[in-house]
Amino acid sequence: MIARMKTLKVDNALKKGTDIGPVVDKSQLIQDLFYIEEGKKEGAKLAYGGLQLKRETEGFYLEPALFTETSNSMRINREEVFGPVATVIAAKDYDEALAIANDTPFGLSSGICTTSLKHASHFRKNSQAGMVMVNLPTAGVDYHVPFGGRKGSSYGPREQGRYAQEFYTTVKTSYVLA
Amino acid sequence: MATQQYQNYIAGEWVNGATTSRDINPSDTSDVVAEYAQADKAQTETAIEAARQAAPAWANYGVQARADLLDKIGNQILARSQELGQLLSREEGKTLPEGIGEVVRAGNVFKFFGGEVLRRAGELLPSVRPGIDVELVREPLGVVGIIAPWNFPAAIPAWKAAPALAYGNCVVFKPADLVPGMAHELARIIVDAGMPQGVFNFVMGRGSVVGETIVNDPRVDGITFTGSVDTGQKVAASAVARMAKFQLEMGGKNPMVVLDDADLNIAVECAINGAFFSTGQRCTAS
Repeated sequence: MIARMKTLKVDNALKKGTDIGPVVDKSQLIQDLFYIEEGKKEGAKLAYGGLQLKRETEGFYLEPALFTETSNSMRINREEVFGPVATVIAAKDYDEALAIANDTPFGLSSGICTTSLKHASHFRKNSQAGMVMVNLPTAGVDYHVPFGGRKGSSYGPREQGRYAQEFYTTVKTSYVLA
Repeated sequence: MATQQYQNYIAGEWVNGATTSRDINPSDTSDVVAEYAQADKAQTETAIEAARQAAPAWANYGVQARADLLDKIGNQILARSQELGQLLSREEGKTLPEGIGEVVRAGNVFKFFGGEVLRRAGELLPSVRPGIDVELVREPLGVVGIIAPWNFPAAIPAWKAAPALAYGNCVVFKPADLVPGMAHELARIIVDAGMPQGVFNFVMGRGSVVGETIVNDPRVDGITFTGSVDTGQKVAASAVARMAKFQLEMGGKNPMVVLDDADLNIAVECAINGAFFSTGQRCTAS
C-alpha cells in the first residue's frame, strides 16, 4: 500500500497526471486533519502521509494518510471521515474479518479481495451492506442497477436503474366491475 | 474583470437571487469560477407553486415526447462532456478524468431514464370476486424536491432529476452550495431541451433557507436527499411530520476485507482506489 501511495500525485485537479485533487474546501480539510489527529491520539500508527501539501497555487491539498494497528472501536473506524484517510484493522481469520466488517452503524458498501469462491460467496450473502464488491473497490457503481444501503446509510427505496420507480411513483390498485 | 453571475430558473424564467455567492476553485483559491444567485424563501415557494401547477399536465405528457426530451438532454450532456468535466473538476476538486467520467455518467443516466419512460408497465389480474378486474398502475407523486450533495455535482442531480421527470413528476432542484456551476449548466441543458414551464425549477441557495422550504412545504410530495447524516435526520423528521415521501442517502463507512488468498496487486489497487480516489470524498469510499 505504502509503495503505491508514494506514487500518487496530489495536485491541481485540472493538471495532467494528477491522481488526487484537493479536498473540496477548508472546512472539509479541517475535518480530515481532525480525524488524522484523533487517530494518532487514540494510538493508531500513522504509517504514511497525512500532511498538508503546498502546490503552485493555494489550495486544499492533503497527502493521503494510512493508519495501521487500528482497532474497530477507534473513532477513525466508527465515523465517516470523508477524506483520503485509510485504516487497517487486522483479523485472524475470515470469520473475524466478516464480524468486524459488519460491526458498523453504516451499511452502504463493502468489499472482499479473495481468490476463494467459498469466501466470496459467503461474504456476499452475509455482509450487512446494500452493495457488495468482490475483487473490486467499494466505490464505483453502474447506473442501470440499484444503489443504496442499509442501517444508518440509507432510508427508503433504492436509487438508479429500474428500482428508481419505487420512489418516484406511487401504486394505484383499481377494482373494476363492468 | 467582473465575474459572471448565474441565475436561478423559477417558473419558466431565469431570475436573480436575493443575494449571490462565490464558487471557488479548491485547486486554486484565488480562482473564482463565478457568482451564483441565492434564492430566498419566497422565491423557493414560487418555484414550488409553479411545479404544483405544472404537475397535472406533465403527468399526462405524451410518453414519446417525454422520452425524446430526456434522451435529448442526455445527448447534450454527452456532447459537452469535456467542457462540463472541466467545470466540474474546477469547482469540486476531483481530477479532470474523474470529472469528465462523471459527466458522461450523467448523460447516460438521462438516456437510460428516457428509455424507461416507455416501460412504465402495470399489471392486470382477475379479482377473487368473479367478474371483477384488478388493475395496478404506477402514478407520479406530483412535485419532487431534490437536495443534492457537493461530491457528485453532475451524476447525483442527474440520477435524481432524470427519474423524477421520466416518471411524470415536476421538480424543484436545490444543488449543494459548493458546486453550483455544474448544476447550473445541467439546469440550462434541461430547460433548453424544451421543458414546459414549471416542470423543472432550479433553485440555488442555502440549505437552511431553500432546502428547509422545500422539505416543509405541503405542496412538495416527495423529497430525495443525499447528504450528511445530521441533515438527513432533520429532513426525515420534517418530512414524516407531514407524511411526505422521502428517501435519504447519507453516509458510509465501507469495509474492504483482504484475505491472505487475495491477489495482492488487485487488493492494493482496490484499496487505493476505494480509499483515496476522488480525494476520499465518496459515500462508498473504503
